[in-house]
Amino acid sequence: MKSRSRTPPLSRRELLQLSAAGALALPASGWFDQLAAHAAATGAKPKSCILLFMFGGPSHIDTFDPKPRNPTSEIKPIATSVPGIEISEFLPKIAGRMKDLAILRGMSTSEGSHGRARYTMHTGYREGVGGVIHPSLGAIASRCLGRPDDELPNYFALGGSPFGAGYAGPMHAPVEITDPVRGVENLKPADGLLPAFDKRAALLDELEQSFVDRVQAPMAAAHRATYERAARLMHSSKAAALDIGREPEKVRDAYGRTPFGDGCLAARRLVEQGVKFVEVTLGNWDTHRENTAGVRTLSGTLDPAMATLVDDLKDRGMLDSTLVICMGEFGRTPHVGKQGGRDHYPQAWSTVLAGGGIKSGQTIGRTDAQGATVEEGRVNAVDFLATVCQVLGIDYREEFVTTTGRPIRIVDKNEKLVKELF
Amino acid sequence: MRIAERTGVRILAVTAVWLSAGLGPRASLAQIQGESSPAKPTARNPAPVAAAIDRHVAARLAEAKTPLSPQADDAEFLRRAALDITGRIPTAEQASAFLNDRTPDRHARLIDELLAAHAYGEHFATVWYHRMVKPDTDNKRLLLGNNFRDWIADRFNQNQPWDRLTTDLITASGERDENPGTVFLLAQVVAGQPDPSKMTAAASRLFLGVRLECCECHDHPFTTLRQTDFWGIAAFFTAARGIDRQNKVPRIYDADLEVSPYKNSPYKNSTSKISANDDSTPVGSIVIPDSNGKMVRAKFLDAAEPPISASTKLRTQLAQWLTAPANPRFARAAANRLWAGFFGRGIVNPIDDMRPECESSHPEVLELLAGEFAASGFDQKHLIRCICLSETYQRSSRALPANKTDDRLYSRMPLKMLSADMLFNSLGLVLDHPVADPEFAPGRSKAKKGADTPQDRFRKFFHAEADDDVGVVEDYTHGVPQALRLMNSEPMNDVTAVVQRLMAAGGGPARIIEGLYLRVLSRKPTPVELKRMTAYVAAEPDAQTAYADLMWVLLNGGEFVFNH
Repeated sequence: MKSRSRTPPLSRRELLQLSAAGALALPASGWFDQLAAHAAATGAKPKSCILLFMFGGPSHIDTFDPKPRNPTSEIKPIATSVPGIEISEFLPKIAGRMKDLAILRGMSTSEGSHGRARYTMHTGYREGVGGVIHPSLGAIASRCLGRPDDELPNYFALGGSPFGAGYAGPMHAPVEITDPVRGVENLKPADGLLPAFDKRAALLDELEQSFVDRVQAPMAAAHRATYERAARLMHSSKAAALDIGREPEKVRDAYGRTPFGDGCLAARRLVEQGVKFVEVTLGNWDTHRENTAGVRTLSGTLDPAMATLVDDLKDRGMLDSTLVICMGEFGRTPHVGKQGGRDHYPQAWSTVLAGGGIKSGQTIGRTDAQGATVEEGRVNAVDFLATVCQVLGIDYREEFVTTTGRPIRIVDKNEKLVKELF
Repeated sequence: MRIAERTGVRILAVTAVWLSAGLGPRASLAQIQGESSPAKPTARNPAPVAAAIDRHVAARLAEAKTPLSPQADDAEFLRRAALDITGRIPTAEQASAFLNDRTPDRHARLIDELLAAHAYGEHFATVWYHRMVKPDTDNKRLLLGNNFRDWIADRFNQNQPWDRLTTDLITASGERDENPGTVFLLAQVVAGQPDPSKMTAAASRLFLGVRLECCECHDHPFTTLRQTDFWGIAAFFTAARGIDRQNKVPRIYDADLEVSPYKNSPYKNSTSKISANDDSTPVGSIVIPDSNGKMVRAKFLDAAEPPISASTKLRTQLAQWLTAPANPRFARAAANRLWAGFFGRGIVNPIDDMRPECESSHPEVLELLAGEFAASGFDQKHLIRCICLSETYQRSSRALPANKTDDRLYSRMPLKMLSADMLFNSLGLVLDHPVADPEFAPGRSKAKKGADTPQDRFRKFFHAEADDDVGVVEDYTHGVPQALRLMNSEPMNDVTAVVQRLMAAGGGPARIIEGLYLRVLSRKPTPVELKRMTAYVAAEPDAQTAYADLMWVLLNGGEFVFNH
């Protein structure tokens, strides 16, 4: 398995630029300048994205596409703030924010195993194709929307084990945070003194330079780049964004005081500081057994966190510039499986979008009365990723160049945008 | 890097220094006494095999007109061999002794000494344990406090032939703590019983270099392997049972399928894949779940169905075919994996899915090594000598302008990242104390029985599991949190004792700086480095802080975190 947390080598071109950069030097270097120029040329203030990833694959008919006529459904639909749209009774707070949401009920993808489906939904490509590791949406956003002189990295991942940057380059690999309450650990030097740290770090960089020159290996350059990012973060006053302890108790309560809720709160704080992409994972949706009980518990975690996140962004005037995505890697079977729950089902399922300037308060696409097949508004992984990029202002037809010099489109060809959102 | 300064002093008692080679800082007397005797030269001579590897590699490089980097100097070779063979860097004393050794056969002797060190078995056991045992909800409870890793380590240290070890794993029976070899099968349980499909996937991936599980649900999309090939192997596992419910002791045994096939078996009501079998299923057959009763008889890959009677020991029969010299996949898979451990990538990749259409960078080398492995009676230490004695393995990682982009022809030694376990062990040696994260904050819940060890927590933080399948790390995998931990955490900065000892030994800044280099990077500083470091120390008001800074710098550099 080569998919997780890997940061593949830089291209030769990037390597040369990196060697020229002087990794721990804090002012912007040649490489950064080039990226800065690119970001500046694209004009408008770039948007941010918060991806709520429901790992395990939530049952669509028990969350956002209720099917009262399906005899296996034990969950009642409830009305939302948009007349005519109903969702699960276990998501009452989200139902109250329906005006800000769009539900895509026509998701239909091709991968039915967790790892491969997760890969496809994050990258838009099938795992293993072409022998390369594709960048995940977070790395794409970090590279296309981030500014090189940003103090904070542009891809944070809270909970779960996110994908690396693939051929987008190691600068765009996620900063992973296992516990949002503890934030980024070891952010201060052991002796607490930054000037002393800087002196050591300068000497370290001299040694790094000679090692990188000696071995001329992309791995060595990646090591140096990672240390540079870490040192930058240590110097950033914005690192306080991760300290959710600074939030009022009432706000913490509203997010639900779960690790996922804390993650959503941290995500909001990071986006306030200009971070371009934050992924927050809520796992355990793999309800092969005891589906209804599992969905009920997890909905109880998702509901206050997502609803409060949408409220918070709206209150701060940030909802139009922040796209919130709630998705799993697939849906679940409309029938009950051998183990008494629901099994993997990529043929028909739902995702939810909020903010980012989309046309909200609508459902797009429709499944049949059982939730088994898509009857209208079919969206595959490529369509989905292209649509998300379009919302974020990323030209997904652009190409990234792999380490072997092969240009590959950000999102694959034959995409069909979900035009109802624009 | 310049070749280390020559002192002309010949250390005779090098072996004595290696007595505790690679043992952790807290090595017990028992561990030292448990040292296996230095490896005896095997009957087969590794030198011609090493030379043949070099000939094949040189031929490919000549074809590609790619120049060779020079041979590694002693320090580079020492650190690399110690990491690859014992999973940790050498101690400062070992480095110093080796760098002063001028005997012509010092490289060959070093390889023998490393192979004889207890740490050799420990290292390979750690790598194999994590390949074979993937903790999940089904097996978690059965794995608590098991001794499997030590069991494997003993076998590697005794140099038990690979076919024997494989057979012992496939056929293991008995209570877990009496025979820790059962843990391999206990790790493949589903709902309390060893699962034929999980066992088939693990055995084929690990011992045959085939991802047979792709055929679990359908014929392999890319090869001639068929769904019936998967279930044909799975059928050999249909008698295996686990866990005695009476006294709750984890154990593996074979059910007598004649007396009590599946009725009343623990499989009843379980969700294991074998639950499709019923009492009418003949011995040695398996019903493919969700297939409308399609039944498959036990069958080897690329071979006939063996005769099976009620008295057939199914797992023994499978192991005999699997490990037979006539089964080319067995030796090839092992040789390819071993090569990948030393060079960062297999000759054929992926190493656990060696399909015929996969590109082979050096097919002659793979056939040579597989043939030699089988001919030596599956002697792993011998195969390691063949690899490590080659000029190919002993080549420098230093890049030349004309070979810096070569990443598969071995014109230079590829960089490998230290695995999380190597990093843990090496940091322990350098710092003289463990580096694990703080266990539990005072006043919090107490450590539970069978809770993660410091090394478990360390490898989790450094994402070791991503690399467990390959066992080598060919990309830089650390992110900002890992860099922050290495730079700023308390244990990493707790170097006072080490620095004070070096300062107390006297000899002035040059001596102390050399001591730090030997300790962290297993080499002496170059004159340029010595000058720079001396100047840094001179500019600092407090010498002890200055030396601690130097140690921090050496520990955080790429030269430490990579095996080069």
